[in-house]
Amino acid sequence: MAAETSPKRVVQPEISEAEDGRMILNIGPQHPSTHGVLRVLAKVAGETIEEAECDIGYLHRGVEKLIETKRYYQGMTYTDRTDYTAAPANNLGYILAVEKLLGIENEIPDRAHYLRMIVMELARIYGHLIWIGTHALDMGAMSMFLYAFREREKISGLFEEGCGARLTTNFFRVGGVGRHDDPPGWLEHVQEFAETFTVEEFDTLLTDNELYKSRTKGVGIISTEDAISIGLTGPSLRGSGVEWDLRRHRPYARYNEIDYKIPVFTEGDVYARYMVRLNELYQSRSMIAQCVERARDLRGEPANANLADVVWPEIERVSGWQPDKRSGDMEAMINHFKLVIEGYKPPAGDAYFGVESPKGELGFYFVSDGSGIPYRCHIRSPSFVNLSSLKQLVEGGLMADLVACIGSIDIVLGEVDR
Amino acid sequence: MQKGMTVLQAANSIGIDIPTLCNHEILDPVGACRMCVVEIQPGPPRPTASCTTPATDGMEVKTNTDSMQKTRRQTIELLLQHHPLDCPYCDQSGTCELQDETFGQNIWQSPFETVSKAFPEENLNEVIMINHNRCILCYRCVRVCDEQMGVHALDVAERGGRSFIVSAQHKFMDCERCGMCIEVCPVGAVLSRPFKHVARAFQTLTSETTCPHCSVGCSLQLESRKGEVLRARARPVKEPNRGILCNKGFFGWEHVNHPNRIHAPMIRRAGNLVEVGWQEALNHVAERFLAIAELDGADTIGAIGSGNLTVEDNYALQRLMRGSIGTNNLYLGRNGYEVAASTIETALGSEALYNNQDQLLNSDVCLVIGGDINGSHNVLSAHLKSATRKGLTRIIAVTRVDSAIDPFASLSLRIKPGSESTFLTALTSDADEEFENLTGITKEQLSEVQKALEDSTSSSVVWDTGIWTFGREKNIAAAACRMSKKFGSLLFPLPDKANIVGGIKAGMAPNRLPGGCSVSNQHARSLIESKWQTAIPSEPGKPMDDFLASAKAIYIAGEDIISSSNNPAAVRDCLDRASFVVVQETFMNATTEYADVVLPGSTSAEKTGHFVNFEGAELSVKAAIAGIGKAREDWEISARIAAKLGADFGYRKSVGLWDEFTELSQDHSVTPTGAIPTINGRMQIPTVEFPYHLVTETHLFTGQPDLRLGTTMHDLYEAAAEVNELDSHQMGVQDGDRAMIRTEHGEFELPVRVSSVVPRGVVFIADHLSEAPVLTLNHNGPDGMPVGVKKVVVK
Repeated sequence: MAAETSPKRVVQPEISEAEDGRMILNIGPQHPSTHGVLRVLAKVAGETIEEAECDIGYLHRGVEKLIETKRYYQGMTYTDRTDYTAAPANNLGYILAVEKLLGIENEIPDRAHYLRMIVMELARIYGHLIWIGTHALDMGAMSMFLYAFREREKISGLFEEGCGARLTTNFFRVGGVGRHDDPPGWLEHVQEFAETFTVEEFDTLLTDNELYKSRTKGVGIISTEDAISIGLTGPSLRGSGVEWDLRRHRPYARYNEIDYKIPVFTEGDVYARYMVRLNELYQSRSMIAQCVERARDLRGEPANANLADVVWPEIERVSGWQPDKRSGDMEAMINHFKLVIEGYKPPAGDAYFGVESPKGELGFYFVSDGSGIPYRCHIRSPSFVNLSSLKQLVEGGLMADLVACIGSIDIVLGEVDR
Repeated sequence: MQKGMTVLQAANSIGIDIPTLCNHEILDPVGACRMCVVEIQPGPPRPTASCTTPATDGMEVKTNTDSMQKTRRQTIELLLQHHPLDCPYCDQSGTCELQDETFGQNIWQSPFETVSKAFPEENLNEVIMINHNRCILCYRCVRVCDEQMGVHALDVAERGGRSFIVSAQHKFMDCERCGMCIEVCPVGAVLSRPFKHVARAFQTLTSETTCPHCSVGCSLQLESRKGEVLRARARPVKEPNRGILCNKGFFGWEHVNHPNRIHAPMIRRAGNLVEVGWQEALNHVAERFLAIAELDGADTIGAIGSGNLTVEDNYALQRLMRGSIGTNNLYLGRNGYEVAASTIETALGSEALYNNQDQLLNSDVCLVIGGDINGSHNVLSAHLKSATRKGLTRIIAVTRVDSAIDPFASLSLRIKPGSESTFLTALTSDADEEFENLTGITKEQLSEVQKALEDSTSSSVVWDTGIWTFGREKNIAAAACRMSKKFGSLLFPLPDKANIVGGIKAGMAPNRLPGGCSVSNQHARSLIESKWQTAIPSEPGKPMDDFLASAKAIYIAGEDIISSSNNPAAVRDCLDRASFVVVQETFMNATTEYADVVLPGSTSAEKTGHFVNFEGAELSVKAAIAGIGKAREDWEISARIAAKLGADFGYRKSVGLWDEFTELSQDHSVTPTGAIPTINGRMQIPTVEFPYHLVTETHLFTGQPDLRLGTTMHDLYEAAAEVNELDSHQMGVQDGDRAMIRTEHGEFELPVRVSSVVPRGVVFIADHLSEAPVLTLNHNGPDGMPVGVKKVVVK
């Protein structure tokens, strides 16, 4: 058989010439300010970007297809690796979609909801901090990065304390929070963090920083209409004056039972998007404090749904399977075995669930054929959709603003490519 | 609803699911587990087992009331009370019906104090073991062994809660090793020893295929993992085996991944076979064939296919030979079926050849003659046994050694080997004075059989056309044809390989085109010629022995023609003389020693195609794994050689060949001439030097040599000359002694085993064993030969 010809690897020069004689500047995929492996092909005239094209796919791992080969409970680990800056947010989106597919949304106990919300809002701060640090670093504000990562480290610690992992949390379980149910002292540590987390510090460092303002105000403007038509979500949309937040407008968990504001700014520029995220840090901080209080009140109540066909039985009941010593429970053993090996089997059908991740609307769509493995999984990732606005943001602007614009839409290439 | 349905069947037929544990679709209901309880109005106010209650008019059945659910849950909870926590390492986990029911009923906490049983695991025999702790006492194993297999090797000991499953005979369960008890066990109580801790059901890939071991053509499911066939399962339930398998089908799969498989093509260089690439091997074959065809003429070239290959394999091989080389020298290896079939076809027409299994099982009288079909075609024999039990048929067993069907036969007679056609002829005409002497059957017994046949409205004659008929194929078939004429009996000659019928149909015969038309039939030939775009010779090929004697190039696929020959020395000579021998095989054997090129063919587990069984039914074979090493599907090899010779078949999958074959298969019903050949040759009478009769037929644990490779199958039966105890005294040998087995044509050494199933005057040696080359004992069929047994004294 003739050897198949493999596509020739084309080495892209950093600078080349377009057919019409304009200069093409190749930014990325290894450029530090593209926040990952994004490649932007910019046709420039002097300092002005006349046209810009994004080239993505450098981080494509086929996550959706991988999920389609795994049991539902196994697939969640892949979501840790899409938006890896805020893994628990992806976990929650995945879990809620599966729960909707199973039709058990109403079975989830309150305590599980509040624990999930705590982790979710920690993840929002976690995600926004990495954003504020790197974006500000791009803009020349070096110290922001150091402060942001100091605080972020604390949240990593809280994740580790809660579930054992700092980055790839795999925090929740379908039906509740699994075994990650409030380890002793964890809620107190979370509360301590909420009390000591000083958003004000960032506020004072950057909000009125003249240099920062001059680099961001009036830069990368996107109008309300364009933002809606592109499908922007999250802080990028709310920076263009649209009050749209899934936590409020498509409420899930117990978000409609706590107080919070949705920060909205109308300018539509990089600075507005910064302001939204900054204010969200304030909001998340207060939400965490409220949730901790509720979760404490509910201590002693179950954190997992009472569903034997979905939730794994406690390991104490399953263990002890030495032939001569029967300390376990045969029923639990069978349930555990079936749930691990075959997984729960949602009825045939489909379900979509979107959550408000730090980046915007993160949606999981599942089609079930009645087996233990999803027939189809699609991830509606906010980074991917938000990235499609980049062309509009940077065209006609200055080369130097490109960095500000990429930063301002807060993309993670792991999520763009999936 | 049909009349006679149980409540459970009635509910299932309209899509209502009632949970069951002891119920199995191939078994009669017994009502042991009480899982299927329902409320029936009008009726007693208590839960009633739906599996044993017949559905009647106006019956009101509630299947899922609260109280029924509670009863069911409690049934399971009580079963689980002393069930060991073995799921993590139990072989059945994942396909366990107790697990499924527990999970399905949403039971997740035990209300009882758990009690553990502590029976040790027990090996019942070489292949079956039992773990009593996991047993739920559904009696499926006991029932399948009794009802379906007619063996009753398992039974229940003790009473009530203390009861447990035991071997019905001794501690060691000397049964047929069919493995059906393993197959039907809903939990991991009865286990396969070769499969123990090998893989879990959810790790394996399954493929539905047809068994290659005999011509019943049982459908089964092969489970494989990472290119390794791990086990077979007797499911789904369908024709012709209806959910059962014999030991060969269930355990006989170790040959597929056997380390001795031929992994790559080889060319002989300086006397040694050297591994080469496919291209080189195929080019070499094509070049040599072309050169020989040019130099010596195409009629010095020929091919020998096999009943072990699929229809497509044989079809591709004959198309290569007929179309690209231009020869009709095509053969199917030595088998007893071909002659029998053509005799029947000439005498009674093609319709008489293929009869349905149902016709056999529903005929009033079924005469089993000669070889023990319980050994050679075990599943068919099992069906006969259970049909007898249901009163559908009466078996008359006229065999040479004691058979497992004897207890089910209304009349079972021992006949002297070699006199079978004499007996059959005597049924249709008058017996002469020598009859009793020759056959060992009295005239009263004969007339009893005659009377049974005369009184019956329908009758069948079944015989295995295996090795025991060699040299007498025509006689037996002719005598059977006479019976058919006199009593209207249906004839069931059973081929000894899976696809002999399909091989003949595919055109693997010197005088027949694909589909069965004669080579000289101008119309059929032109049809094929226009399809193949090439001319094919109109002269039939030579008879096989003539061809071999003058052959220059031979293509042998899937058949060890030396070991299966009645005259190995002559065949060796022929192969030695031939200038080019291609052997396409799965294992090295006697024939490959003479090969100039060895091509790695594949087993039935690696190919997709069709087998045609004794009923003439087309059964699909589906690959479970990809070819081992460089092994390719046999049809593909032929097709690629043809492509090298300039005739690309143009198929990438065997289904194309199948379509072509069915398209070209013309209706060829042979007009019967009514001519039945006369019986010639009489049985040979023992002499002083050779005082016994040799019986050689397929034993339950022997079969096609290649398919039997692997430790499990091999350990079940050790080659031996089985003799009656009284005879052994006369021979002066004891069990285990080595003895020289001699006839006037040959001899070999073999251990002696004293056996209870062998009647006096008979030495039984199973066929297909390399240690016992019975075919060398006579050039014209060894069975029935006078034989002498002499103890070998080790000095």
